[in-house]
Amino acid sequence: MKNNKIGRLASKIGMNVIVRYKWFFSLAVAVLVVFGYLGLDKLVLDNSNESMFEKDDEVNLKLQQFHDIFGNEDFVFVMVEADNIFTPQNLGFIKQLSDDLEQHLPFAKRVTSVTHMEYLDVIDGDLYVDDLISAHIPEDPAGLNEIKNKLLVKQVYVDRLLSKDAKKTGIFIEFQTIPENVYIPLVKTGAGSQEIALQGDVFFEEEVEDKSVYLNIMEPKMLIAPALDLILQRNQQNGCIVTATGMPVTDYKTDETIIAETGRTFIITLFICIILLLVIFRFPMAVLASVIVILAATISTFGLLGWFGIPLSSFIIILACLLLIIAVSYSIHIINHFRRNYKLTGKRKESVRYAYEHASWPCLLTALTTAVGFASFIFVPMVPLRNLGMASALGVLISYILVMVLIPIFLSFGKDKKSAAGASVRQDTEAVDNSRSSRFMLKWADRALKSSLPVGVICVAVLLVIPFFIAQVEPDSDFIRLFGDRNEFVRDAKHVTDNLGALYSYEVLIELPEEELAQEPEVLKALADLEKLIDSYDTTKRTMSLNDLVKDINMTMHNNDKNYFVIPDSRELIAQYLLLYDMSGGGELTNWVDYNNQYLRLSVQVKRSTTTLRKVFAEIEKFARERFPFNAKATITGDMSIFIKSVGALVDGQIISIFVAFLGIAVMMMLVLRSIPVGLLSMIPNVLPVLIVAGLMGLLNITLNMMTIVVAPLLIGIAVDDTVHYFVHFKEEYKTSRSYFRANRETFRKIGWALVFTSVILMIGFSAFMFTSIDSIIQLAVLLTVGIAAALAADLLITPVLFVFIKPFGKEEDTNNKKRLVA
Amino acid sequence: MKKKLIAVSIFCLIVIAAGFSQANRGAGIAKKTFELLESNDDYSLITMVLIDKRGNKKTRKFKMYSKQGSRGRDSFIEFVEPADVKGTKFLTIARKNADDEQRLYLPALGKVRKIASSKKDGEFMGSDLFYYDMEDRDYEEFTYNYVGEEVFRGMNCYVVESFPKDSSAPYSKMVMWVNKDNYFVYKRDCYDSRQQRRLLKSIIVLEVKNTRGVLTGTKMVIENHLEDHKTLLERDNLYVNTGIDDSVFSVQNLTK
Repeated sequence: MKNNKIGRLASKIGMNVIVRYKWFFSLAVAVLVVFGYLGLDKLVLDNSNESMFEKDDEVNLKLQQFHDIFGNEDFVFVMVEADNIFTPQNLGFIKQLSDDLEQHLPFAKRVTSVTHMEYLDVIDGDLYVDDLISAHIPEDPAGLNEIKNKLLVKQVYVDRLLSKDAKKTGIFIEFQTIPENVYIPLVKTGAGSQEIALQGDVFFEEEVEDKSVYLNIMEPKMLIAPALDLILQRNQQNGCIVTATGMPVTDYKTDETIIAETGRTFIITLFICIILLLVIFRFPMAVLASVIVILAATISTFGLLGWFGIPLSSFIIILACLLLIIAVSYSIHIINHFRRNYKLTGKRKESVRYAYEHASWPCLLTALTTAVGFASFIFVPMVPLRNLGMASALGVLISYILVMVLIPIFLSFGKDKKSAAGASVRQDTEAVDNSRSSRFMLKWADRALKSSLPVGVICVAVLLVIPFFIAQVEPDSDFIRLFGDRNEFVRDAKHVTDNLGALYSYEVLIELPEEELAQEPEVLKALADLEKLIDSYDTTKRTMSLNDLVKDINMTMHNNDKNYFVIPDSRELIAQYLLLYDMSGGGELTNWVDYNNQYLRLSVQVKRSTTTLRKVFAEIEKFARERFPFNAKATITGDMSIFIKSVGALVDGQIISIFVAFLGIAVMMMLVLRSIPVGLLSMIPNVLPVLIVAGLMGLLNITLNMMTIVVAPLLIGIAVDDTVHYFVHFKEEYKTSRSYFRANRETFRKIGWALVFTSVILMIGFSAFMFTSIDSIIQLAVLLTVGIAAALAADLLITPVLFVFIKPFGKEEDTNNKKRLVA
Repeated sequence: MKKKLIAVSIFCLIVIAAGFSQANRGAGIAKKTFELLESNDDYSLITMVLIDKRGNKKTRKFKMYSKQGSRGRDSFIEFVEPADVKGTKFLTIARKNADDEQRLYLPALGKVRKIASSKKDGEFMGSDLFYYDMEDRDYEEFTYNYVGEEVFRGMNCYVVESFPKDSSAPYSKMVMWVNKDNYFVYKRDCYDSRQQRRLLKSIIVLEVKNTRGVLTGTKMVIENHLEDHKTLLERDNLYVNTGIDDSVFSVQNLTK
């Protein structure tokens, strides 16, 4: 009678401590909420690529080495489209926009556009190093045409700065190394409140004296996108379409969208839950209590994460709604037990005691299993998932504690009522148990056992088909595919990527053993061969390196003869060309070769992120090893190398998380049920939904991504809740009746509807994700909803069959029931 | 009411007058810096060490001849180091009211190329100095403001702000530390033309040589605060007013 003992202990603590000192506990919760609220300010949202892995992870160390040598590789690309770019008005507009960006976009280091670029040219043997367009934009068609042709004649600019049809041009913005924090001035508005002045004017720590009139920005990179929006809004031109993208833009907009969607989804889910609770219980006090628990749990959890300094990613949207749904689910169990007893006895305190006794232990078990499901992410080698694991486990436990403290306190308020017109408890019990809903559950309990054969056949058939679909699931971490194109900034990124610019890139860092070797002709020729190889891949949009400069200068110095668009054979000539470029104010040299001529950079823009890059990277490294002289070493870094690593980590992470969640929960079930075979048996209805969902992913072509990876361990953690409730009650009932058949009926009668309600709440709650604009979250919603439905079906159809037929608690005493069952 | 109005007017006049006086004082000091004796011609071996934010150094060594002509100051540069650019020569012939004429000789190519450029904010030899910093400037090109006095590296200095009248100048403002004893500018803080309050770089003269009354900065450091980059410049073998022949500043001299 261990379960009963724990239940009685829980009810003693609940009644003698929590309910007795309800004001003290209410105050304690209020303090926790206020503490949490203060911590919300410290909560950090980080969706950046670098945050995927630990700082000391190899992939980040490589990126850091690259940043140390070549600085910040972030850029923003503004694409201007017009029927004719080369009109005085349109060029004037591009000049004005480029000026504004150069002067007001925070951290802008260099702006390159048709109006803001140097052009190396040779005319009658004289070398011209000057602005492509002087201070005055030509008015005559011949002058304008000349500018267009100057760009189109040079390979380095075509489809990079100007499209082949000359209808699209780019403004390319590079950034300084962005400081860790900056200050922006607060401006007093008419209403007396202060708001942020986003004029692109930022102040460094040492420039600020009175910090009260400034806002400290801990993530300065996030200033770029809103300032860019302001600049683009105030610079508009009829007939010109302007589209902007780049990592600083997409990172910011991702966060902005996620926050907006989290708020919206949370409100929709809360609204749905309130309606459902009202429909189920028709008990306003219980609904109010649940809403307070939800808000307290959410604020406390997020606040604690802020205090602990655990950054959140896109998962914030899952976490917020999950806490809500879980708090509602636990509340339902407590309220259900209270209501049942209150209807029978009319005694409020007695009913609270009953609720504590019968719901606190199974709810604790479910909280622990869900927490273990999430905690399995701690073993995944990806920081955002690890943080989600910690945050969710913490949130689930906080939700449990708050439900167990606040709901009974709320329910304890009020007077006792007379039970059903003075009827006896026995009559009341019968009345409740003979209600239509109870009768339905009893019928279901019987029917579940009778339909074991068809259910078994269906299960076997499903299990045979599923592996085929599971095999088709592909891992993916492409930002555009994950987000889908319902959001404008994603469409913009796609549009720009499909035309001039590129969102994704990777960098090949060539490290030479000694300084001054990077200017050797053999090295640059090997680099040219490597570029040729990379250009041959389908994934490559374009390559850029020091060779572009060297070849361009060589051609220019030979009167623009295209035969000289090659790497010269003389080391001295290369060095002198680069000196000439450096002396004439060329600013790009340090982008492609380091100060000591020991490191070369080959930048590769890609059309799309794809897992085939893994093979490409291996080939590049092999080619570099064989082709470069001086035992030069090639290292691949940048966005796409993080992408490839993420894809691998997703697969590994999924396997690890499922394994850990399964093992952890199975061990818990074995301990709770005090039997290894019964514990393992209890996992069957929980593994089945995971397999079904995995098969569905293959069937619907849903990838294993940063969102869908959450489904399997989460499903194991949540699906097991119903099983726990069923098993704990079944065991209790079996000990009373010593009959599997009766135990099953009683269990269904007492908690059948609670299982259905909590599952329905979970399904409806998660389906609120379907209203988001983010594809991967919609996929998550579909998978979780189907998974929970499958888990409920498994608990209602498979679990009773397993228990009644396998008889895990030994031989039953009531032989009549056996006969009845066989009949 | 009338009395108040008069008092306010007097106060305003005092403020305006004080402003004028500060500007005049600043202009007076600046004028003296422009009036310092300049060499007619000079020669030196310049060692330029460029230091990036990681502390990596790049050294360039070149001989530099310069001479005051009727249209401005001509210069001739010949690279000595690094070895692979040795013999690269660069000639600048000053033009009045026009862009300077520049010619380049690359020994590995064996050809002289004329270079046309109107850029003023280009970096001089890849250093932290702009060509603008190297060019002769006139007193009238700026407006001035007297800031105060300050001790800089043990010297009593006037601090004067100057504002370029030309909107295409690469700086919005320069603050000069002028030695009270000899009116030589020992430090110049240059502010970005784009973001006016942002200190772009500081040019600090560490060593000054007096050659027959001509003061020449022979050791200086230029710190680019935005890029976290530094240039050390040393002038050795300085010869002043030795009568360098005009033929040094000729195209023929490039290929010799």
